[in-house]
Amino acid sequence: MISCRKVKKWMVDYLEGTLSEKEKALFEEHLSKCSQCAQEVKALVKTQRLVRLKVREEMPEGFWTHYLPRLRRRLEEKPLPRLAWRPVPALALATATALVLLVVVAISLLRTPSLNLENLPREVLVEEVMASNSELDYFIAESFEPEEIAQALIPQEMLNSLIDSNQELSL
Amino acid sequence: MKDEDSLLVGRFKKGEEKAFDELMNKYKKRIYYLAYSLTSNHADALDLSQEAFIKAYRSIHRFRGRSSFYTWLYRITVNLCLNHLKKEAKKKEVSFDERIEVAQVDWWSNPKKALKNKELQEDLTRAIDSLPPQQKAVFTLRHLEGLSHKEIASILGCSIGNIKANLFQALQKLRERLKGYVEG
Ligand SMILES: [Zn+2]
Repeated sequence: MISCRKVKKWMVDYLEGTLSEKEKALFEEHLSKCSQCAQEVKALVKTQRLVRLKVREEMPEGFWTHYLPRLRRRLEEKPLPRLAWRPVPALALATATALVLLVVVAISLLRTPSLNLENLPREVLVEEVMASNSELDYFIAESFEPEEIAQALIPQEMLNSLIDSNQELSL
Repeated sequence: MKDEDSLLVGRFKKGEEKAFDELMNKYKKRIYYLAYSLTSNHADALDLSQEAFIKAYRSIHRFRGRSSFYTWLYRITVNLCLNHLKKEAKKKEVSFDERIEVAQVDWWSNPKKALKNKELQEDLTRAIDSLPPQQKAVFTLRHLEGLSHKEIASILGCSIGNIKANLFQALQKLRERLKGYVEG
């Protein structure tokens, strides 16, 4: 007979019907002999069914007529930076090197799991990885302004490797 | 449709503002309701869904079309909302032990009635809302948005095992919070 721990591990797959026939048989065999697990499964099945009764409240049509004009206004509040990789003035070069270093330091620090992200400086930002989600990408995405990237001349290969490390997903 | 979106993105990249309007118009409802599912709050959903479009707008020139525009936008939205939930959770220490007291409603024998039962709907919202941010996001994407474990893992950048563990923990908490409905 499989253990109670195994039952917990398989629970989500059981509830969603994705256990194999063999696993399902083992799972149910356990339930027939362990009333505690059987009770838990019963309650969780009910909970899952209950939560699926949640309906989404629809917004009135009037809400949508204001949505886009409002969004347009917000878009125009801050003009789009038509970012080109402009030539960097000599003065900016020192800052640029510092920023690149900061990124490199941030990357190596972030590989240490215990790092507290809140303590890192957040004044810089790469929108390139905006849509990504690991703590590392998020830090960089939220920490650089596109203009700053342009000035900082972060090596394109570095950006590319960051972007490529993000898996594509198909919804 | 993906091809239509690519065309719109291409037109916008060439400077045609109206093409982005079309994209916003096409996805405004889906993105708004996604943000609403994740935050359970209309003011936040409005702000964060618009924020997602703004981020997409401002970084579109870097969008290379390796995923569809919608997938990319969806991902931006989920991450913005999750970040928001984490910030909020830090601000107010929610008591997860708070139990929802329910009068026994005969929802089970009549699911249609349950869908219209305002009290039940409010209790469900409160229960889901009380989950820790990560569990709430995973649970919402799975059960309200209907995404697969793999898709959720990819969006949130964690393993499928991690997603399953989050779903299990979320369900256990919900069971506890919705005791009045589930038992009896
Ligand atoms: Zn057991």
